[in-house]
Amino acid sequence: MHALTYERRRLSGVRSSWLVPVVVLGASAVVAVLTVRQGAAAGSPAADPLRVLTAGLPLLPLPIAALGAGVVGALSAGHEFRHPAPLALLRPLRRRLALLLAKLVTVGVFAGLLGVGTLVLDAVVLHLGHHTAAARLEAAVLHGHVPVALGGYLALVVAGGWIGLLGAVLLRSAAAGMLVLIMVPVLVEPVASALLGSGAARGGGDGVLRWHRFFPVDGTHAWLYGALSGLHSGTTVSDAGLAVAVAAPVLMLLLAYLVLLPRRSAL
Amino acid sequence: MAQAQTVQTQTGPAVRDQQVRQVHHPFQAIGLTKAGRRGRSAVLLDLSFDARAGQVTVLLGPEGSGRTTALRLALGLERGQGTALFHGRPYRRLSRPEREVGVVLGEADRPAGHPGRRARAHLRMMAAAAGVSARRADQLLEQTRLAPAAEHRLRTYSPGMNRRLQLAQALLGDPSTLLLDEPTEGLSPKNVEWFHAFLRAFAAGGGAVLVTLRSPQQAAQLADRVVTLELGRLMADQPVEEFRRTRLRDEVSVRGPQVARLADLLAAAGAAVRHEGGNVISVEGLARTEIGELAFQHGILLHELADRVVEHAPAPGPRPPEPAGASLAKATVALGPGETVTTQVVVPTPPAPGGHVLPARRETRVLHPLLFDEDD
Repeated sequence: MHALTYERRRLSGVRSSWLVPVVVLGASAVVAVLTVRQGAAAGSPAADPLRVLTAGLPLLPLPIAALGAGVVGALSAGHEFRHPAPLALLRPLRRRLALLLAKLVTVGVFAGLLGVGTLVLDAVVLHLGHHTAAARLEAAVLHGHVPVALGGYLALVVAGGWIGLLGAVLLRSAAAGMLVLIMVPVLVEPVASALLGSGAARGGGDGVLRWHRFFPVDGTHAWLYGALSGLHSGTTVSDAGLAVAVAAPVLMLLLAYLVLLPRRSAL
Repeated sequence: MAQAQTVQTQTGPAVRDQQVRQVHHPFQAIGLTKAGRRGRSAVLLDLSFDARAGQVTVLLGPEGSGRTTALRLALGLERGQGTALFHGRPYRRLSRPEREVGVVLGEADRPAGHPGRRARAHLRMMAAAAGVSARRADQLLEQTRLAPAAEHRLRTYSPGMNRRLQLAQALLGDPSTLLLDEPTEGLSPKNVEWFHAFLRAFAAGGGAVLVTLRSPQQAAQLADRVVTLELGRLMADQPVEEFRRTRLRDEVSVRGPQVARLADLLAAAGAAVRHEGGNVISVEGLARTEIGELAFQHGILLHELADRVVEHAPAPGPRPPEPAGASLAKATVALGPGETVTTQVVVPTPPAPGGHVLPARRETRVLHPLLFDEDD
């Protein structure tokens, strides 16, 4: 069985793998343009170039590209449940493992390309719309000082794809995978602040207040992952802490799935 | 099995494999059983049979007789008792199942994969899953006559095309055994014919084919061996010649404005005549040519004269309402020498819904010819 070939052919044969990047690129370009204009209209402090590059939206818990990668990942897993391969082609344990690995690799590469694509497109938008900020950033990049947050952004996009994939595999449906992806940022924050133990001190209030801050409908809420999109996160978590916050959900889902894998008959 | 074991201890793996193949049939079902839900009678009870290389084996039975359950049990898709061996090994123990067994399950009116995909892309993807080259996929598209439609999306496929694509999928690994669940159900006669030819050719090439069917006529055309199921029980396991002799009979269907007169003449000539309603009669015991000559000699106009193969037990359908009790004795007498124990158990058919219930199934078989002898 050539799992990687299978997954590559599967991904290139469905329409969603073309539609999602188009939508994601279009949406992030629009958001980038709006961000640049908003900065220009305000006159004073220009929009954070990082926020323009990653097309960060304060409303969304995750960058648009991460959500798009999550959709592709979730559909990738959902496909095997909605249109199962004819019988036992994919039933033996080692084949299911190989297929999962192939899916992780393919979705990871796809998400990485999607992230790079949005960065490039938004960089063009920034260059055209806001010369001074762009010039500073470009000079920094030319000197080899790429902002760490850009790497974090790409990692977040890839992790988004994987969370969508693993969530869908665990719950056997693409929609469930997307729900998991959306739930992760909501759940990560209380866990992170509880673990760090400093959340209460910084929040300055009691538990109820903190819970209120985590309510996702609140438009002014600063998401934990927002730091990776140039949004001003309410919590000042270190880079290492952010890396853990990005990797932990993926690893937990992966572990949960690996525990379940031998007990299942399908993927 | 014991024989195979002793051989294994003495010889190398290649020789061992060869020996195992010689000892075991490509497919062997042993006591497949599936209990019914909540105390209902078993869906499948102790079904044992085997499918041999170079033969088409048909698992025949009406709907609800447990054919599909048998296949699914054999493949380990359902839980139950008993086991099924492919060359002496259960399906889940096969190291490369797609190289040994090709399976066509599911319905013909559902696409074989994601409806938005194109057939060639889909089959190539499955080829990768089966570990074979993309060329093999293209080759199979040619072989199943789907090449002209290879670039169409699966949602545009007809049931016949779906079935052929499913067959191509099953054949990717070049298996030696084929398992098909009602491959010809709902297909056009042309597709049915193509399927029969393909499966016969596959068996002629040394492969083993196990097909489930509902129609005895199709079974007689396709099979080398017919295993009959009824309500989850094995009723008969016979070679096709015996099946044809005991389960089917040849009839001639005659249509014309003056068939009533012809019926008298035919009855006088010793044939069994049955009215089909309107101006159609079914004649048994005389060849088509003889009937034609008889009609010509007496100047009787005919509109249709056609051979038919029908079951011994006529399917419950439109029947003239008859007082059934009257001819019971005659019916039993008329049971010919061809009626064996096997046929007797095979016969039961559910009574026609809404129709009057006949006292016993056995009599329904021969009731009508005799009655019509009297009528005309």
